[in-house]
Amino acid sequence: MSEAIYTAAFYVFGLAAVVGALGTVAARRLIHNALFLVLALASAAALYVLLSADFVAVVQILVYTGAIMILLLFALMLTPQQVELPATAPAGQQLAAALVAVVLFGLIVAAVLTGPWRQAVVPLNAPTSAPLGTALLTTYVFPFELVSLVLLVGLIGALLLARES
Amino acid sequence: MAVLNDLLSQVGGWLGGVLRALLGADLATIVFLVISAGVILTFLAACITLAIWAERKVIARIQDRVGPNRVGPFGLLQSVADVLKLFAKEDTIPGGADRLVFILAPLLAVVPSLMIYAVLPWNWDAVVARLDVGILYVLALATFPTLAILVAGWASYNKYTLLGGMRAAVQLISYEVPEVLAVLPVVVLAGSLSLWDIAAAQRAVWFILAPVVGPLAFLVFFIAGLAEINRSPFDLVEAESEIIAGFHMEYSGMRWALFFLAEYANAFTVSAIASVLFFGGWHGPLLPGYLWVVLKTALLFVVMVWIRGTLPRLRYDQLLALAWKGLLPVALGSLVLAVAVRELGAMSWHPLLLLGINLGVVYLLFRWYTDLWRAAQYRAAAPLLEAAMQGVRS
Repeated sequence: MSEAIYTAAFYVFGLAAVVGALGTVAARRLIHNALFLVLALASAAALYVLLSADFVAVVQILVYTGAIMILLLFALMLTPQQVELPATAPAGQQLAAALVAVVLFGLIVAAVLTGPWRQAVVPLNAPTSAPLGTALLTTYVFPFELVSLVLLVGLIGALLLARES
Repeated sequence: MAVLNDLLSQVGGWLGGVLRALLGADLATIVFLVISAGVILTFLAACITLAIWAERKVIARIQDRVGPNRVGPFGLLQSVADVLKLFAKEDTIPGGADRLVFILAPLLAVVPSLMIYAVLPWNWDAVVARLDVGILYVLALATFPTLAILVAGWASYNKYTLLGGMRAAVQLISYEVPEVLAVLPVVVLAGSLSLWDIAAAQRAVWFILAPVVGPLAFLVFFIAGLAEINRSPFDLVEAESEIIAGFHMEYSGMRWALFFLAEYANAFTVSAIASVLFFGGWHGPLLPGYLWVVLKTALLFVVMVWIRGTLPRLRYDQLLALAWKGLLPVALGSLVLAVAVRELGAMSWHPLLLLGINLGVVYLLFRWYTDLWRAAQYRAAAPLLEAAMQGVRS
C-alpha cells in the first residue's frame, strides 16, 4: 500500500497512543485509567504492525489484555466503587515525580535524536515469527533462559508468600 | 464442481479487477477489504440468527419440548421477531452507572469478536488476511470480550453485575493458560502459526487423528474454549440461581443484544477455529471447501448445544480445579507428545492405524471417566448405605 496510507495510519494510531497515555495518568477513576491504558497499548500494537513487527504486535495484545484484567481486579478489590481519586499528591511527591519525568523525557529525546537509526524506506512486510524463534533458541538462548529463570523465581516467590505460615 | 470450489476466489478476483479499474490500486484495496468485511458480517449475522433458532430447537428436543414453532415455518423467524422486539425496547441506563463505560462495553465485546473472522480461512483460496501469526491474533482478540464483561459489570453499579464481571475475569485468567497450551501441539505438528498453513498441513491427515495428541489437545481446547466464552456448563458469569443475570443484568434492548451477538459470535469462533485446527479446515470430499468449513463449524456448535442440554453448571471450586489440576497437566503432556509425534513422523502412518490408536485412546478416556463417576457415586451413597445397614442391624 502507498506511503500516504501508512503515514495517515501512523498519525492516527500515534495520536491514539498519546491520548491513551495521557488518560492513563490523568483520569480520576481507576477503571478509566486502566481502559486508557488498553487504548495506549493497543495503539502501540498497531504501530508495531506498521513497522512490520507482526509477532510483537499480537503478543503485546495477548499479554497486556490479560495483565490489564488483573490490574482491574486489583483496582476493584482495593478501591471503593466509583470514588474519584484526590487530584493532588503531597508536595514532595509531586516534585520528585516531576523531576523523574523531566529527566526521563530528556533521556528518551536524547536517545532518539542521537541514536544510529537505520531507516527502512520500504516496510519489510515479511513474517517475523520464524526468525524471532530461531534467534531466541540459538544466538540469544542464554538471555532467553535467564529471563525464564527470573519468571520462575517470581512464581516460587508468589507461592511462598501465598502459603499459610 | 471445480467452478463451485473456486467460487469465492473467482468472485473476489472479478470484483478486485473491477474496483482496480474504477478506483486505482490503493483505494481499490481498501474498498475491497471493506466489502469483504461486510460480506462476512452479513453471513455471520444470518448464521447467528439460524444458530439461535437451532439452539432453542435442539435444547427443546433434549428436554422433550417442541421449541419455537409459531413464527414462520418451523419457527424459523422467531429470532427475527426477537430482534424486532429488542429494537423496540426502552434503552435504560442505571442512575449510578458510569455512562460512557456503560455504553462502550457492549462495543468492546462485539468488535473484537467479529475482527477474528478476518483470518479465518474459508477455503484454500478464500481468506481475507493470510496472517503469519493468525492463531496468536485469534487468541489475543478472544480476551477482549471478557474485558468488556468485567468493565460492563463494574459500570452498571450493581453488586450482582460486578460479581458476574469478576467471575468472568477469574475464569478467563484460569482457562486461557490451558487453551493456549492446547493450541501449541497443532502449531508443532503444522510448523506454523498461520491458520491457512495449519489447515493446508492437514491435506493428508486431520490433526484430530494425530496419535494420542489429537483427541487430548482437542478436548482441552474445546473445554477451555467453552469456559472462555462463558458457555454452559461454565456460565457462572450469568448464573441465574446465584447472581440473577450476572454482568448484563442492567442492559436492555439493543445494548443487551450486542452482548448476545458477541456471545454467539464467540461460540462460532471456537467452533470454527477448532474445525481449522483439528478437523482439516476446508479439506473434505465432494463438497466445496467453504461448505466444509461451515458444515464442520455448525456440527461443533451443535455439540456445544448438546453439552449445554446435558451437563449442569459447575460449582466455583470445581471450575478452578478443572482448569489448574485437570486441563493444564493434560495440555502440557500433549505438547510433549506432539514433539514426539513430529520426531517419529507419525503423521505419515496409515490413517486407519491412526484412527485405531485414537479410538483406543477415546475408549480409555471414556472408561476412566466412567470409573471416576461411579467412584463418586459410591462415595456419595456410602453414608446412606451405612445408615441403612445400621437400621438393619438394630
